[in-house]
Amino acid sequence: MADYAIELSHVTKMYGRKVAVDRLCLKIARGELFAFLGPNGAGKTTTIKMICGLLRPSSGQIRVGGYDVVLDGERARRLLAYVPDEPYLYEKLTGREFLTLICRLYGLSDRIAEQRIDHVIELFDMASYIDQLTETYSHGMKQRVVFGAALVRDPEVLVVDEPLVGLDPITARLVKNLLRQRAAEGHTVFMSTHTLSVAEEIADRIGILHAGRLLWCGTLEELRATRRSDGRLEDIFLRLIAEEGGRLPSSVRALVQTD
Amino acid sequence: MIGASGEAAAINREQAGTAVPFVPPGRVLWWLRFTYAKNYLASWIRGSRLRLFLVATFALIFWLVVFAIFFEAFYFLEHRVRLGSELTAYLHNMFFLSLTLMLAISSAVIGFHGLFRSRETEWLLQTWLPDAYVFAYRLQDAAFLSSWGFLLLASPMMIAYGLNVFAPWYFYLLFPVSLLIFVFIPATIGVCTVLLLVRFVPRRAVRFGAVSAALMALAALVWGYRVFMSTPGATFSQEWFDAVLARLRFCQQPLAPSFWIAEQILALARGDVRRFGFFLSVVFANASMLYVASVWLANWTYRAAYSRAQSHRTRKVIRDQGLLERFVQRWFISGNSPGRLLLVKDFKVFVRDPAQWAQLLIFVGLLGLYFVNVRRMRYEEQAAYWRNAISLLNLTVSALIMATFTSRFVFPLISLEGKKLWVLGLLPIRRDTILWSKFAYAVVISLLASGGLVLLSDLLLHLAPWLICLHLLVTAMLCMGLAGISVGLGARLVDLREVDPSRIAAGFGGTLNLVVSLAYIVVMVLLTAIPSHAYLAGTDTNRFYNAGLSLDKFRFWLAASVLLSLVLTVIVTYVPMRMGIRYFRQLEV
Repeated sequence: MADYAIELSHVTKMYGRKVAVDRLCLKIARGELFAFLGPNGAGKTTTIKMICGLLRPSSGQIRVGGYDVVLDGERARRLLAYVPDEPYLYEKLTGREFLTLICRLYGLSDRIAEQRIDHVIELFDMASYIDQLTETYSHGMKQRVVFGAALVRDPEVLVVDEPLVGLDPITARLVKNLLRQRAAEGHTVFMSTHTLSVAEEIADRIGILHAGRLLWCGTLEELRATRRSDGRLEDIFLRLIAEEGGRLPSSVRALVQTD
Repeated sequence: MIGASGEAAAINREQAGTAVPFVPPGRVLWWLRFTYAKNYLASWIRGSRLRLFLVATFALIFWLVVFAIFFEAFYFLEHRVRLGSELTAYLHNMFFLSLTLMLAISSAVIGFHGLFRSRETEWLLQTWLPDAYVFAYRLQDAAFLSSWGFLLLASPMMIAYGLNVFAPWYFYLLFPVSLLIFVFIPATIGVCTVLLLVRFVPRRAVRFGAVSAALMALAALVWGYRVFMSTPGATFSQEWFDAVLARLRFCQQPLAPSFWIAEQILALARGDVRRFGFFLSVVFANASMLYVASVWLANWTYRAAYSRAQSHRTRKVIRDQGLLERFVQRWFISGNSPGRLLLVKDFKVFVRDPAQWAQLLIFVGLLGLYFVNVRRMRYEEQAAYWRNAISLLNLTVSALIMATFTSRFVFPLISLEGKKLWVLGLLPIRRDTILWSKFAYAVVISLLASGGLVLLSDLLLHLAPWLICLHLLVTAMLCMGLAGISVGLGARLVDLREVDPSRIAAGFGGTLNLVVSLAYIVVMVLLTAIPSHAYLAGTDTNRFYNAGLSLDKFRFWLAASVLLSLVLTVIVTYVPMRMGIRYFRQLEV
């Protein structure tokens, strides 16, 4: 069994001449909840898409569960579930049919699939709408179904892009608990978010990406110690980005400097 | 908790190690397709019985009209023309050759979107499914979507042909099977070409290739036109037929798939089962070979091609307006009133959306080409009433194209504002202005296109100046009426949830809009046609024995028809716009 759930070795991704991700090295251990932070355009989504096998790195290597995502993509993707920030559902399927599709696709027997589907429906409180066509769902309802679809097959690695967008406070709390619980059970969660308070609250380690480069990677305590600050993650993050020449509006820059 | 038992994790690990699925993925994808289609059909039927009735009725009418045209054409060729059977065989070859090219091109376009731009594909590719399955799924979709129209068009043609040549009963059972197998050949070629282009050819080279292909197609059109124009002898004369047959011989290449399918159909109609079986086997073997080869190819190129397609999206910086935008803004919509600014916004969207202007350009271009070709028939040498009739037919076709444009692109405009409607709703302008600006947008574009076409047609037919003015006046009224219907009904039957314009246009509101537009066109053309045709026919005393209108009566009826057309245009503009405005004023964003 591989030592790390996700491994990125010197990964670079070019969009034409633009460097989207620059020699990124990252190792995420099993049972870890890793938060990936960075301003818009930093390369977070590109990195996630490379981990999921949707984009190929221009150079470097990515492994999921020890399998190379380029050379052994099917096996790597079998271990992984991805929850994007904009959920995709088949609009003319019901939520239950979508969950059934996932179970069939991943080879769960009908009996186990039924149990699992009932479980996630109860977990995310979806009983009232799960048998309606997904085209009638709100963003939050769709997001719950997509979370259910990711968890129904119990993947070893869960990759989540902006997990709390569009969720009501109750479901948001539930998702945060679930992500923490999965890590506690030995599964790996790779989470990209702009909600720094969530990363502060639940992440084991934090990676800060800016202009494709990894500025920092470690625990929040390590970050605070290095930056000699006991302030909020938001303040440290903004200062770090400002020091790296990141574009901040003048009003925000003034506040960061005052702090 | 889900993972507490560890059972699923064990399944995942085991399957990751062996990559053997519990259920074959192909079967799961067919289950998905079946369930989706079943739900789609059920919700479509549940949605509106009236819509279902209208769509079924119009589909049936369309089918019957196409059948009648083909039946008459085959009857004429088989019974009235010397070498008619030979010419029919050539026509089958030409028909299938053109269709092979069209299917390959449309499959390539649909395949590109399905393989590289669809959100469903992105979702499928992040599951464990092998790339070949995703590719095959999309290839089947492209084949279906590009060929259903072909099957709809081909079925009345085949039945009309079968009835004319007294084909055996099994002809009607087996020709759909032949066509169904055949469509996979051009579809696979089209989709594979796109796959290889995206995977291996630099983007600049693709652009260069596309421009070259477009120029070659244009050159082929010009060549075809010149050949047609230079065919010796009068149209449909013996000399002309012999020359046409000699020039069509190129479409009977034995290695062309179009030849195989044409031979199949002709042999089946004759009851020559041996020859039919042979060519069916040839088509089946080639379609299967191409399908298997394409899936094999996709297994090692598709994901890399997908990644390459996603990695080259450029964000174009637009700092200045294009030449066309500046021209329209200066001459048609200058000024800074809120309505005009909204008009500028809609026009910019039109210019920057190739789906809109390209479709309009193709239709207008084809119609322009046809109008120019009308000279081959030497209509300008015919009597005035005949030229007027041809001109009115041309006007009708132009109006039908405008109705297609307003139904497809103008009717969905308000619905497409969707989630952005609050931006318009909060602007310090009356909501009526928003609708009137869209009305002006539709009138400007359709008037530019159809006015130009009608003027071209009338000039080539050497019509009298007063007739040209009359036709242009009718065209202008038609543009206003069609715009009023589409904008008014588009606002009254707004669907803010839908984001796909083609679905809005194909929905109940879009269908109703098209039906009302067609009825309006028919009435308008008849109002113009009857008095002018009666008068002009009356001038041809040899043929009509003074059965037409006198000049005085004609003046009266022409004035009456113009007045009636004007009243009708005001009604079809005002009533839908009024309905739309009233509804739109109260619409909660």
